[in-house]
Amino acid sequence: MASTSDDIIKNSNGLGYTASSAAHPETLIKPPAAPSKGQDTIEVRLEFGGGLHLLFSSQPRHTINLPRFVPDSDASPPQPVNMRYLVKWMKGNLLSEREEMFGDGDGVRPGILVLINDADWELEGELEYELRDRDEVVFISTLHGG
Amino acid sequence: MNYQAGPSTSSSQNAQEEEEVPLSLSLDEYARYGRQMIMPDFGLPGQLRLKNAKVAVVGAGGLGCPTLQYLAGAGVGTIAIFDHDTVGLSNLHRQILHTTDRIRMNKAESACLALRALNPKVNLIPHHVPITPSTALPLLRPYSMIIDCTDRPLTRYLLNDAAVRLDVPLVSGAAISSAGQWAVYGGATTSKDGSKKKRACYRCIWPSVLAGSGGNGKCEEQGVWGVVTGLVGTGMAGEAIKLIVGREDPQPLLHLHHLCSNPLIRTIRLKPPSTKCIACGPEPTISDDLEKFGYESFCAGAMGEGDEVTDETGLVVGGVGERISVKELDEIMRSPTSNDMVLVDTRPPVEFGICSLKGSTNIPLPSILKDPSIVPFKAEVVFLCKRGNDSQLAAKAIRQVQSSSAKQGRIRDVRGGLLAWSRDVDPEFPVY
Repeated sequence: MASTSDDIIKNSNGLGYTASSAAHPETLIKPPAAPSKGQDTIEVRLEFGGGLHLLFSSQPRHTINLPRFVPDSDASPPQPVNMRYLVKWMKGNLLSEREEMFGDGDGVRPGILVLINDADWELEGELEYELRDRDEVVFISTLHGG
Repeated sequence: MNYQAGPSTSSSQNAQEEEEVPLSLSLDEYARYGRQMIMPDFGLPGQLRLKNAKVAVVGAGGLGCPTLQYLAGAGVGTIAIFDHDTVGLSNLHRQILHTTDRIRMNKAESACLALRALNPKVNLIPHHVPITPSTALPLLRPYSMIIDCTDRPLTRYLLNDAAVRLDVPLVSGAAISSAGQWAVYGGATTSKDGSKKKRACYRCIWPSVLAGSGGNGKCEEQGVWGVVTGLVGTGMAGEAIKLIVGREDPQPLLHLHHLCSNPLIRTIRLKPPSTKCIACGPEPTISDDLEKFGYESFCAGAMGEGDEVTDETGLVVGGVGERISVKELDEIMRSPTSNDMVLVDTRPPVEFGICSLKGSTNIPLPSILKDPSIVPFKAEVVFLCKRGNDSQLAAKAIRQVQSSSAKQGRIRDVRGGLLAWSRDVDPEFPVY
């Protein structure tokens, strides 16, 4: 069941996931297309480490476009999209495994560390953090080998 | 000339520390440590702090070896080394303190031999016993820092809890394959005005173990680059030395390393302690009675999905007619009817490329599970892998497909796999 070092090098995103996609072959499906880039969208880079890419079609990196403001909302002024929106969006559009393997309420499971631009998301406001164009959001779990 | 040593002779701005530094350096220590002492961050006070320091390094393997090497080299005065494992040939590509002629020696003992040769000035205390919930606190109490160089979640959480109970910082690192990470957890940072700020503990950042997440493997299965454990262990030693000499990072950081990434090391700002933490929070449920915390069940499933597989599980007898021994396989391969058999090796291609049995076909387990029909149909299908675990899964999958199909063949797999083949049939067959 082990992955090969070759796979790891070729597919690496530099965040230390190690298991190959082969562990979940049945989940190798393409995620649905994100909204296309346009004036009212922002670009967000998503990365997964420590094996979490397995939950997202085994793809360690995703670049997605999100609407700049929460759609279908009557809020005035318009509500910029935040991490709460992103996590929900990921569950609906990107997640290739069961929801409980990633989500916990509005947030993510304990044991998944979320980083916004190289900082623990709890330093940035967690679910309330308002996403900006070109933000990078990283999801990792811990490693144990030694 | 005045060789008198002491913090009063320095311009240390950390003089508010209540620590006492009664030691002085011997003449040869000035020479030995001169190249680091002349750096402004070190000076004589830094060297004396190192000499006074008592640290516990748990694990003298891939991470422990480089960590220990630099701690001893830098002159950390007292180093306890905990490891109950013995040196094996497959350790030596990364566990660089051990040597070929010390195979089967206890690792703590072997590391001590290397470190003593490097620096006879440091006090080394080897421990052959494992650290368990009942022994952790008494064993670790004498030390002012714990350095976690172990390789499994149970000891990682246990050492964290011990560090919290003993109120000492924990330097914790991990490495597998081409990735690693390390950080300082627990204890407190000291800001410029002398005020202390608690660091998050390991449990604050990693409150639970994700079962079966991909990084949670063992080096013997996933493999590991020697230079990756080397770099992570070196980073850990750097953190330990920075803590001892009072030059730690003002903000807690987590370092993520991947051998093939750019940048090579990515540094993350960590959050403050969690108020919900069961170890270091305001209402902890973990007490000095560490045995009361169920480490086994807390970590269950962490090292893989479902039950752990080992050499033993690869040797189980299995259902009637489902498994054959390597000797039976040898007979079938020599028999004139061997053409009626297809021998499928389910290991990853890279392992098949290292060594394989003549006439075997490589179809990796994940490919079989994804599409069982890729296994060629013959009257006799035999699955083979390294230890006899994956081959059972492959045979089971094919039997399930057959039960709803007209094609009927005999599906079996080999107990103990290629390790058993090398042991019982062909001693010339490589074990890796």
